[in-house]
Amino acid sequence: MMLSGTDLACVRAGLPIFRDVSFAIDAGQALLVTGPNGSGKTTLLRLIAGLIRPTRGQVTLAGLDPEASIGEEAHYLAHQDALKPSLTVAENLGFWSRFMGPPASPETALAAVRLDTLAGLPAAYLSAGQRRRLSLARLLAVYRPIWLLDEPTATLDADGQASLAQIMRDHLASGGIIVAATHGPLGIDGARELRLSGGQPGCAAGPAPSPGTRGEEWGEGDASSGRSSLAADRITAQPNSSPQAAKHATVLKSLAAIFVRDVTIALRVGGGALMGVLFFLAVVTLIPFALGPDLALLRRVGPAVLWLGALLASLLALDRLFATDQDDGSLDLIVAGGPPLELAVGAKAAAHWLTTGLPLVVASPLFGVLLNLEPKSIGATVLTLLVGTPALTLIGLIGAALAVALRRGGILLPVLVLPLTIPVLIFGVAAANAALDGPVRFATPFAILCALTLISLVIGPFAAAATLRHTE
Amino acid sequence: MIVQKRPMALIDLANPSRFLALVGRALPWLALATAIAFAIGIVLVLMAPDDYQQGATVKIMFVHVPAAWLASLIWVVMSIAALGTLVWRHPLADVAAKTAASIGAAFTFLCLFAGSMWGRPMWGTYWVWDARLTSVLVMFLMYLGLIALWQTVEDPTRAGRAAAILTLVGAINLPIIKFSVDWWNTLHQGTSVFRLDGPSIHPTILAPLLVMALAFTLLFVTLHLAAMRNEILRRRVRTLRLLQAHGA
Repeated sequence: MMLSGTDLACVRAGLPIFRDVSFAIDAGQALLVTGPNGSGKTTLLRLIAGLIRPTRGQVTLAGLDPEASIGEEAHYLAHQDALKPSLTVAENLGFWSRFMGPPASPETALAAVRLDTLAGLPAAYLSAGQRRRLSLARLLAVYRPIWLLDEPTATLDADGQASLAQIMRDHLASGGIIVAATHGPLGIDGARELRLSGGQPGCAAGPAPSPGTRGEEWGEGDASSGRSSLAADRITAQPNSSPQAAKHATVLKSLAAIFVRDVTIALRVGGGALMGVLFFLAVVTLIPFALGPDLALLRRVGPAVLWLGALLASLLALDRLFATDQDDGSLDLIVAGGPPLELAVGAKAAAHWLTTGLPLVVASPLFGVLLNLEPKSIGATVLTLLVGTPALTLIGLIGAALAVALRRGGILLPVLVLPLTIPVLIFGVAAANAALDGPVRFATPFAILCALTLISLVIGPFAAAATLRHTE
Repeated sequence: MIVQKRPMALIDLANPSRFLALVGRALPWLALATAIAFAIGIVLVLMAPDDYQQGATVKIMFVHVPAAWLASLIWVVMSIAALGTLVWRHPLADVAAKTAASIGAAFTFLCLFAGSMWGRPMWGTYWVWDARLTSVLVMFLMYLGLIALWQTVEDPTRAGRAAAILTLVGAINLPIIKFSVDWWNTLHQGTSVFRLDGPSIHPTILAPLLVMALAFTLLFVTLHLAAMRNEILRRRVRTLRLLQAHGA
């Protein structure tokens, strides 16, 4: 196994972060990336993880499954801890072990970072150092040969740093690779050093700077050649009867993990699963104040009011669909090393619809009574909402991804998404009205509504995944 | 624990342990009093004459009106508790406010539900946008908003301040909302103005109504004290778990 980068250059926002960076790390070796603040250490790690594309050059991994990306073979430990405060310590680690593939033993990993006694506590109760140790447990719970560690000792106390050093030495001894961005010694003997010497904003204009103008210094240590065959054992321990089927099973497990996690978070304190219903009720209550308490009028506009209310309420919760994952760093891990991003995004959308869309559908008959709708009309509206709200979620998925990519949440999202939802609104309301006294049959607009939902099922996850991949 | 600077009457209750002991002693008696009040109230309600127009459905009023009365009363209780949180920093104030909110929402919902059950035979529909019903619906929304606020923030002391401010703003706004809704409804006089109460209440109706109001109030006090006890215990569990995390 050999991880190498050749002639890497990275330009961000028109400024060269670094250029002419080359390295080659063999199994059992560690590479320490050092340099002043802003010299591109984090960028280099993200680049290796596949989260950023290099402007020039490439990173290659030889000697492993050729179909797997580096991200799928690597653990990326970022500054953010990728922990959900409302989940317990065990749930947080359990999610990442299930998500990242063949689950090893989360319990042993927790014990190794001395958090086993706190397994049942919400992660919100942990101190910064404890959270760091919990993220480190991820590296132990699931075996991945390459570790990309960004300032791994940050917030750790002396004991924590010592046990981290031991964990890293064990990983190297088992034939793993470590690339660590650091300011201080990590306690690994014989690690090589790659020193990044800082950006030079002055030469931003040059599109392809000539090589050699700014060489990288290499601190050559003696490469540790002692490596056991432990890593190879673990990799071949996979059932190799049908690798394709095993891979599918792994992907399904990852998707199920995302789905279960998102539903759990939505139902916990601060998840806000029923906030949309409350907003829906508020919108429905406001309408008669604007139109007057005229029951005949309300009955006529009722389906439209319910649809508008559901539409606005489903927009409300979209803001947090990706934003929280981005803030705590989970999104990077989901993008870098898991199942195909389209499917992961789809799983998130399904969980989101179940916790925000479905409650709207369930609540709508009651709100229909408030608007004096006839039972038949209520039934038709509920049916159209049941079919139509998934489309709203899936279209909103694109907006949520864009908002995350542009680092602008809040008001931008509705502005982006609302125009896209117009067709769904048209045919949803048309079908609901047609059920009662429409000039057309219920089936016609309803069939188009179903088609719109199916189309957005295709477009939504793909567009959202494409957006998330190009966030950098 | 916050140290009180001025001596005050409620100082004895400021100690949650003493409060818990007191609640433990008082709760059985309160529950008994509630049960007796309800027993008398229900007998009186059954003996009360049916309305010559509305028939037996008028008896729904004996649930509806006390629930509506409690919906307002509980907001007053929460407003006092909010003052306790913001002004006196009474440690039990936000416990009282938090637990009252969900009970208040439940009574408000009961009021709306009973009104709508009464409306079905009377108006031919479950819901009309009558001024009183609509005001109660807006109040229900505000209760739910308050509960949502409590549910959003994990740290109860931080949520307490925000909820206290919202409660007081609500206390100022509820009469304004009530006035606006009345004005809005009379503006649309032509459509559907129904009144739940008649022009005057006959004594045969008034007596059971008052007893039921008393029974409902006792029920609220009982539920509220029990809920406060649970909340105090819940917060102790949370503190213990936090200590466990920091001790490890």
